[in-house]
Amino acid sequence: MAAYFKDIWIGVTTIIAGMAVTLRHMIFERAITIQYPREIKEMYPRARAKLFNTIEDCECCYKCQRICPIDVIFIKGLRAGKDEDIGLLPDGKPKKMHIIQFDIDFTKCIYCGLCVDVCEQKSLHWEAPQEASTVTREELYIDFTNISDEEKQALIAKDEERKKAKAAMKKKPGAKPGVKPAAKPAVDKPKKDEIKPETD
Amino acid sequence: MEFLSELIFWCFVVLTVGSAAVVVFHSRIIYSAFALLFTFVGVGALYLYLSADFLAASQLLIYVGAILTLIIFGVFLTTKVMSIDLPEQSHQRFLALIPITLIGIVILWVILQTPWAVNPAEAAPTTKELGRLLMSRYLVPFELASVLLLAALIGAMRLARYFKMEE
Amino acid sequence: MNVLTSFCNNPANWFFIKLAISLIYMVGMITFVSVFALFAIWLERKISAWAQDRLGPMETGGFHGWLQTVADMLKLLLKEDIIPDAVDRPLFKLAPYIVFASSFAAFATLPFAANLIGTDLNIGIYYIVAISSLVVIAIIMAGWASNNKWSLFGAMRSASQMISYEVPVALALLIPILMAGSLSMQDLVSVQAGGFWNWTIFGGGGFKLPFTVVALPFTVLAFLIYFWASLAEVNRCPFDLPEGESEIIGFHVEYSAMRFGMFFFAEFANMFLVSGVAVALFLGGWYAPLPFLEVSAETSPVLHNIIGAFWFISKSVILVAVQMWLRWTLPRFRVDQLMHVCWKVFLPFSLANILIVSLLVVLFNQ
Repeated sequence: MAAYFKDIWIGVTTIIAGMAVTLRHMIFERAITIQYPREIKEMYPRARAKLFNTIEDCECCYKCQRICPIDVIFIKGLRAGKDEDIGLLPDGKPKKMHIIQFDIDFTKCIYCGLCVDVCEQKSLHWEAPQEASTVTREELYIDFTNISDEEKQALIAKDEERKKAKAAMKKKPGAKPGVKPAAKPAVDKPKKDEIKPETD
Repeated sequence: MEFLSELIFWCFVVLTVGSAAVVVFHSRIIYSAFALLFTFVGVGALYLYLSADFLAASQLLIYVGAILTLIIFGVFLTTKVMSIDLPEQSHQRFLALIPITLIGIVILWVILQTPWAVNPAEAAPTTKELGRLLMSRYLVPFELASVLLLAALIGAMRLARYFKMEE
Repeated sequence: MNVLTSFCNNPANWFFIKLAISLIYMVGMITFVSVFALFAIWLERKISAWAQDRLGPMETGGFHGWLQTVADMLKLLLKEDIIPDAVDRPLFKLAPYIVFASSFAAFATLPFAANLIGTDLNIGIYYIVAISSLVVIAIIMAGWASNNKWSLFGAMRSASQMISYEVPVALALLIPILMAGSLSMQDLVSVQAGGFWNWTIFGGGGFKLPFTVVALPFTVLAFLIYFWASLAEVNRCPFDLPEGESEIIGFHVEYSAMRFGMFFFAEFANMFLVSGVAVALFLGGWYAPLPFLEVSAETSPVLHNIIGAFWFISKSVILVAVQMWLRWTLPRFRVDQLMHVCWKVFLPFSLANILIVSLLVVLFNQ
């Protein structure tokens, strides 16, 4: 009999205690959720959300391309002329390369971060945007170069010219025949078409 | 206004008799059980026309709330309830005619003998008077009924309780 | 205008006028119940969100998502009404209507204000208790017609729960009935006139001071028993085993679209109903907590009714909010615990309560 009344007493008191807890949460505690599209939460500074290359600082050293375990970075650089001044790198050295292609294919990226580790100029780095998702896969194939197609064509043409001139210079002494004219102009991203997934 | 009142009355009559017909004639027992719901509600409404309000509510509470539920549970516990087809053709019709005629004569006699009140009584609260009668004049039947129910309750508990088999 | 006046003054036409008023009241009540259900669903979401430190619906309609349930209801209306092949079609279609009709029928004797009541039957409260029992049959019908074992189990649980809890509900309701000496809703309300100290929950109910102090614990106990048992009557948490959306499956698994919506509406209508009965019997009905907060019928009959309805509805909504608050506090009972609470706790307590209160009523009535 005593146990019966004790049970009821415990039942009543625990209900009151529980209701006090929910009441406290209802009135005093603020909601911890945020209204997403209007308030955007800061991401953590070391979040590996998306790679980003500040192209102005890029040395075009190909280290990231080489270390990438799954080969999703495509770089094409052209050597600048000795007399050309195309700015300085962050460590003070003059830039030596025109970058006409710097693409990263995020559909395949495994976010290992090796490319960021090897980047000496710290131009390739992690960024943490809140909205990194895209609607189509093509949007995940990102081109970081900041020059237009015409400029690229001009740079390629200039490079061809320079190479021809060099070859002609070399030909004059008549030492080595059969030097190939130049590398193929590979500006219009041949690989992009390959990796392009079939859109439905 | 008489007309509308009559109309509602006849609606309830049709509801009661129609659903009662379903109870009797439907070949699937589960439909009969659920049709009883409408019969009980209709009878309750007819009680209201006799200005027996307490009785009408009791009809709903006891018959629909308790007895009908019990009947439906009973139907559920019947094995193969979905496939039982109640026999639709009658046997021994002529033999059956004799008791039916007798019952019909008795009912007819009662109907003719009863002095029916043509003008219904003024609608007055009956609850207090019913309670007073139950506690004074009809105390013994009331108590007897409760003793009977108590006995049924105890018997049901005795049957439902789990006893260990004695070795 | 003259035609109208002469029409109204002719006693032969009073029946039609009465009929018209009843029809208007009925339509108004259906509207009220629907709007209340929409509001209550929104409130439930909000309270659940606040109790869990969330925000709840915030977008639809601008201010705190107040249009969210309207949008949901439109969705339910537009959804395809799927009736599975193997169900018992007539019963399957009939059940939601009976559920809604029986919970709506009980609103006929709920006193919203002095004159705002469908009909002041002299057995008002008994009628409400009786008509609510139709829901049990309709739930069994739904569970059976679904032709699904889990539906049937849910219906059985629901039926046994509702039948069992009708007993403590009725016994707890007997306390105010004993004190008022009437079954009519308006009589039960009118004995509690004049301030909250006269409410039945605080031992008032038409009695004077010495009785009030002695009876106070018992009337409060009666109110608590009624409130808790009525939670089980309307399948609310912590007694929501019949529905238990996620874990144990309820009687309306097979229902979709607006047929499901009918069950849903009926549940919220029932919540208001039990709260309204608690308010009318225990919490002073449409009387204000303090006498100066109401307008007497002599000064302005219309305002008297409007203010009365305001107090009645706000008290009921507060009780509904308490029901929701309980839902987001307590876990669900197991089915045997449910029966234990009903038969071994509520029943003996309410029987003892009735004995004590009737003794007190007899002692102090002289």
